[in-house]
Amino acid sequence: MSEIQVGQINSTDGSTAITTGADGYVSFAKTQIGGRRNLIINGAMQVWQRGDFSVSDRGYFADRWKDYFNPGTSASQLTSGLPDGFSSGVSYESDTATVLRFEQRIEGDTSTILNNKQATFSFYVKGSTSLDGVTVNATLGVASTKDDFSTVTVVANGSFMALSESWQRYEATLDLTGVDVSNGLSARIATGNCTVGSILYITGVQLEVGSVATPFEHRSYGEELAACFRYYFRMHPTGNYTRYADGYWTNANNASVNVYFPVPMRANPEIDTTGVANDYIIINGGSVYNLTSLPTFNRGTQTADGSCIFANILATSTSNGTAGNATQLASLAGGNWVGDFLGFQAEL
Amino acid sequence: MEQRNITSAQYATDPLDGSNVSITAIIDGKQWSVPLDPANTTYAEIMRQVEAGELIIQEAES
Repeated sequence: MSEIQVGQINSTDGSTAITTGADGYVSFAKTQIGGRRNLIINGAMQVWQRGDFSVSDRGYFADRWKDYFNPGTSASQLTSGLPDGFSSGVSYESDTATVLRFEQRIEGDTSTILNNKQATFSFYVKGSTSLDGVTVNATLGVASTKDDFSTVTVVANGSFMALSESWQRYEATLDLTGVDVSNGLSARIATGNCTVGSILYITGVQLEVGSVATPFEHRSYGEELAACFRYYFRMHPTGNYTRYADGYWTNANNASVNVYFPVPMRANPEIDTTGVANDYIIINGGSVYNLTSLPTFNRGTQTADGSCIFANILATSTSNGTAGNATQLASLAGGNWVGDFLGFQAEL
Repeated sequence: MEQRNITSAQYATDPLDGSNVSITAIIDGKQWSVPLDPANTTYAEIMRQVEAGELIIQEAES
C-alpha cells in the first residue's frame, strides 16, 4: 500500500485548501465538508407542525417553507418513493395556479456568510407526467431592510433544468460577487408554466457557500424541529383537557396565562388558533368553561436580542372566574379536541 | 411585493394598565392576535398598510 504524507494541499490559485495536523486532524479552508453547511432549515421537509396545506391557507406548509404570490396550490407531506436516504418531502400540487413556486426566508445574520461569494443551491426533484420537460430553477432575493421581506430584489438566478418523472438532483451555482445579502435572503424555487393538477415532488434542499454542491447535510429530526421552533411552535391536544398554559384569574371575566417556548422565538409571536373560541376552555376550581373570544397576546418576555422566551396571553370567559384563583388554558374533552391546537408564529 | 389581505384590526389592552398590547386582526380570512413588536412581520405589515392609508386600527373596546 502506498502512502503520501502531506501537511498541506493548495488549490490552483496557491491558497491553502486542506491542512493536515500531526495529530491526524484535518481542516478544510473553505469548509465545504464540515457540518452546518446548509443554510436552509428543514431542507428535507421532515417537520410539518401545521400539517398539510390547502389552497385556502395561503402560507406555510412544511415548516419554514412558504408559497409566494401563489394561492392556487396545495401541499402535503411525502413519505414514500423518496430518494435514497430521505424519509420526507413535499408533494406540491397546482390547483388553479400555472406556476408552482415557494420560498424559504433566511435571517440576515445567517445569510451574511454568503456576502460577495458563490452560493450553490441544490435539491432533489421530480414531477408528475404533466410536468415532463417543464423547467425548474432556483433564485435568490435580498430583503429590502434587515429581516424585512416586504420587498425582495432578485439578485441571482440559477440555471434551468427540465423536470422528469424520475428523481434528479438540481444543482446551480449562483454568483453573489459584489452582492450584500446581510439583510436576509429569500431562497426560491419555481417551475415554468404548468397545467392545473401538476404535482412537483421535492426534498433535500440545500444552500451552501461555494461553487460545489456537496452531499445533502442530513440533520436529525430533533435538530430540525428545534430550529423550526424559533419561527413557529404549535401545541396539539393529546386527550381530554390537554393543558396549554398556566396562570390566574385577574377578575371574573379574564384569565392571564403564560406559555413557555421550548426555543426562544425570533420575535414576539402572533397567536395562531383554530378560529373558534369555544375550542378552548379555562378552568376555575373544579369547573371548566369555554372561552367566549379567542386568546389574545398580552405581553412577551424577551431576551436582550429580542427573542421571545415566553408569552403572556389573555383568555376570556364571561363571569365564570374567581379573581386570584389559579387557572389553566386547555383543550376540550369528549374527543372534541381532535384537530385543535394553539400555535405561535414569528416567521420572517 | 406580497400584500396580505387585512380586513379588520382592533387594539387589545393589558387589563393591568389599560395600555395597548396587541392587535386582533382578520388576515386572509383568519383571526390572529398580533403583538406590537416591530420585529413581528405581521405587525410590520399592518403598520405598513396603516401608513399607506389602506387600514385603520380600531381602538380597544372599553
